[in-house]
Amino acid sequence: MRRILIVDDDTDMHVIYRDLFLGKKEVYELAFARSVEEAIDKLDLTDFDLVVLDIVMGPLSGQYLFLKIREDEKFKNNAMPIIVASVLEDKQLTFLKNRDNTRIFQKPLNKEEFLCAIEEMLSVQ
Amino acid sequence: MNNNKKYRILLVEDDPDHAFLEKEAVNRMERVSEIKCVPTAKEALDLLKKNKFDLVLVDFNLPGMDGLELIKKVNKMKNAPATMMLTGLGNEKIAVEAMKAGAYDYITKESGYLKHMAQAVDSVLERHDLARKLDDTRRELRESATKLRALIEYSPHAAFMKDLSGKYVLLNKQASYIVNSLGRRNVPLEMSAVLSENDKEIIAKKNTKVIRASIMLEEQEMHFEISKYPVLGPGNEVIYVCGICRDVTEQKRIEKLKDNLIRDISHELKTPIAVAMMANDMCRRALEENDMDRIKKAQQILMENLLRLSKNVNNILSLSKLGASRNTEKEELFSIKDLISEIRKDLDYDIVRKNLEFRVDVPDEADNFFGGKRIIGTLIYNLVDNSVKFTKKGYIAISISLNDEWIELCVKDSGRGMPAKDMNKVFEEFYQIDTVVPGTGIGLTICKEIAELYNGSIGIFSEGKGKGVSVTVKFPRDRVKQKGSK
Repeated sequence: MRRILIVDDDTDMHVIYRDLFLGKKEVYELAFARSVEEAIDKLDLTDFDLVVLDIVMGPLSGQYLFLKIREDEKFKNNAMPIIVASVLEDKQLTFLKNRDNTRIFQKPLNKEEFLCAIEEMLSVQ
Repeated sequence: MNNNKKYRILLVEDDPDHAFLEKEAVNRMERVSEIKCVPTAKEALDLLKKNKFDLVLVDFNLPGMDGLELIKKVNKMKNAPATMMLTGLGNEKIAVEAMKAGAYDYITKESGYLKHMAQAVDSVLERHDLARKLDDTRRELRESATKLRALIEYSPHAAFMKDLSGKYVLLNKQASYIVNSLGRRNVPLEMSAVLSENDKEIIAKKNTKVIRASIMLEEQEMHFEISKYPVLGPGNEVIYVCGICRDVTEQKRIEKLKDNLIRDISHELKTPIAVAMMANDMCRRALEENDMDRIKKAQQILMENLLRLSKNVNNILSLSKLGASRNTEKEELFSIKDLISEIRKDLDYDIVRKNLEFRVDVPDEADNFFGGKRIIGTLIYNLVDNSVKFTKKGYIAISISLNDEWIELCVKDSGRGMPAKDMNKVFEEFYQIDTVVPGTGIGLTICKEIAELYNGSIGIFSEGKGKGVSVTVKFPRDRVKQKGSK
């Protein structure tokens, strides 16, 4: 069982994500955070294998969490696989400099491509 | 000499015989259209006051005021006609005096002088014409130099000219301020390098250059655009390098504001579209499996996001109607209290439904605001609308306070709030990221744009989760006027 943390401030998106993973209940365990603060708390408590991260959220943005995971020495796994899933175009995401173990998706997500990317990222681990 | 020009001549001669002969001699000249003759200086002066003459021929021996005195007087007149002296034989001393007083020439009355006089008059008229032309040209030159100097001097842009060694030969007010302040606290030496940039190339290739530079001046980042071009001499060689330096800081600020607005707006449109499209996918998958529960859920998400999209579009349209710039709306004095009551009516439904307490605290001295009423209304509406949306019970409080620099509008609620621990970071982070406003819909984005248009700012504070949020908008103090003043 692989644990995935989905960080998105839109609860409608939580419902949609759950639906995307509907046939994969045996493979993935999903957890949701509505804000970056909530995500940080959850990451402290539980070990996750992958984070799906929206960028435009308030008050802390997804960029903050991305940098914390990648650069904060106190964070347990700086190489944590991250999927950035937002409506931003790639050219608006130039601040994501270190893109190792990172995939960028622009919403709306394509179910097959999205699940395929997760599979690839987690089997590489 | 102008071939067609005809001249009017005044003869001042008291001897009738001489007068007759002299008149005849001059009248025969082709270019003379009229000759008048008077016997005294007084009559001559009277005539000159009312009529225009090109030449005054003056006999020295006149009753009353003599010829020399008359010549002196005539030459002091504005647009004085040319003067010539007629003297008797042996009076050369007087002739010299007349010349000193401004006469062009003199003629000695000796035998055959009439013939000689015509030639002399001819040459005097010609010289007088040239002198007048020279005067006109000089005056025009002086006038155009004055105009040009004023134009350059009072230009809002810094204009300068340098010789080939790099020495400034012309600086207007703005430019001399910059050049004289070089190296001091307010203008860094860097500016000198900017002003000299490309000089060599301009001199060598005779081309025009536009230099863009950003420099910290008086602790503020300023943007300049300097157009430079060579000034060519008579031999088509470069003699000076001329430059006009424009301050484009404000233009840059507005451009950036516009870019941010477009970026924020497109984000607010893309988000509900993306969610709706994914909900539609979900609906399609659920349909294949005939899963009514999921279909209902997906359909609800779809509907909600279409509504959100429609609300955002309306909001954007209202912003564009208000004008992206405050310049498009007439600024006027209005009461903030009245404006808040109007807004309260629009939001009445939710306020009553949730049984929210609605507090307004606007001191009288802060009530008279000068600005675009509709655009400020939009700002307050969006802030209050946000508070109403996120407050399930308790209150919404709108207050205004004044200090020396700012008028501060604060909208506070007892709603869901946000964690306080990272509050400072939020804003640091927010400014560093420079991507998108972490907003609750486009409402806050619009508020930020409006505050910035008014050279103000917006801040969001919360004491923590569940402790409500307060949003403070600051405007420059001079937006508030005393009642009855403007």
